[in-house]
Amino acid sequence: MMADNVRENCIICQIVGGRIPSKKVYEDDLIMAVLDVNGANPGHSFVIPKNHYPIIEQVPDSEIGKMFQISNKISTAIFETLGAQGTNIFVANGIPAGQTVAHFMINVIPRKENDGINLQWQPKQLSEEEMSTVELKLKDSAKNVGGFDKEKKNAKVSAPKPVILSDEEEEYFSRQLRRIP
Amino acid sequence: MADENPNPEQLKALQEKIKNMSPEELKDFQKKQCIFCQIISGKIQAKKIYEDEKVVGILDINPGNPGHTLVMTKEHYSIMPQLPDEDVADVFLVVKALSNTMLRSIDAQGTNIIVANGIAAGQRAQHFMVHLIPRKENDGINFVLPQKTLNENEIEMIGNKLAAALGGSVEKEEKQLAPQLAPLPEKKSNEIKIQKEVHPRKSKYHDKDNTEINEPKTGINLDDISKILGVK
Repeated sequence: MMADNVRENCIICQIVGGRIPSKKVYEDDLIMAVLDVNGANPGHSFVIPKNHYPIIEQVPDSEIGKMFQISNKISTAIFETLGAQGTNIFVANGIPAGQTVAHFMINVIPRKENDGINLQWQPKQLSEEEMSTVELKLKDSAKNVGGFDKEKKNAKVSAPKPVILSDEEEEYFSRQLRRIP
Repeated sequence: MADENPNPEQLKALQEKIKNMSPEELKDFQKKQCIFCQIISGKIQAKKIYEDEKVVGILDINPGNPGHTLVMTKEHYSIMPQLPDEDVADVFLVVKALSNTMLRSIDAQGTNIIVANGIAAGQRAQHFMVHLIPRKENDGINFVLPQKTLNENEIEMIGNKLAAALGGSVEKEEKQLAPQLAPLPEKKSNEIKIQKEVHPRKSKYHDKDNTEINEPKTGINLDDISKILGVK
């Protein structure tokens, strides 16, 4: 059914296709959530689009909203049924951000005190000028943000759309990924 | 923010007072205390890079990288599980679009999207927010996500708990949205068989040291978490 969108060499697509066994915690026509058996904590789950999109920019708006809603439900379930003290929603988008698999995913991670996970950063000291420069740049390009296709977003049924990804783009990403030890 | 730090007795009295508040009173109380609500209403200045009816994006004054943005609901929520579905979608559509903006306008090579729910998860602010951090190679940020391997029992138990919790609430709400919704399809038993074949000798051994997971846990009350955050 999704043959066109499932990539042979993508481990997540193989999970979606059932060729790699997994413990599903949620599934609908476009989205799946799976327990990470090598997760950062017991209960660590990831939410994935069934279609193959490497990064968030390629995931249609109509799927993004739903994916994060599912993530939020998993996060709530982790609090309520696993007794976690906290949860993180974590996305690594692009290799410099720590992405290791070329299939977009949202991690939902149960947290406890001193669990060995670190999602903190050392604040960088920026001058007032640097802050203003980056503010102007982002503000300027964010002007085009918005006008989300509300209809599309609220559409009751959204048909899976073919992924438009040139093979070059795909290869580039895979090559980059292979560099990671 | 309070002008002075309350002494332990005042704090205790305050906590007692908070305990007895109705959810509405609590939210109102938290809102008045919340520095981000004041930023949103314009009482405190911030570098706003995005705003619509429901969502704002401001630059973090302690950024992990230049351009680090906090995307927030204008409405006060302490933690993400309190957000209605519609708001979740609204916030993350903005996050996606701003991530795109970062790749284009400030030469980010990637982005991280992080939400922390609860102090144990690293939450510092009492207002729900999404951290959107532009990334470059060798930018000094090193997140650590250790790998902990689950045994077969844990996988079954935890997976079933989550699926049950999720299947219930999602199914009811989303019936119209996704008629094909099937949290636990028939072939489930097949999958388990396959997994057993992969680790044929593990189950007995792991049964023993699985007590932690086996113990029935009382669910954590999300309101409590939000109350703790409100006082901070």
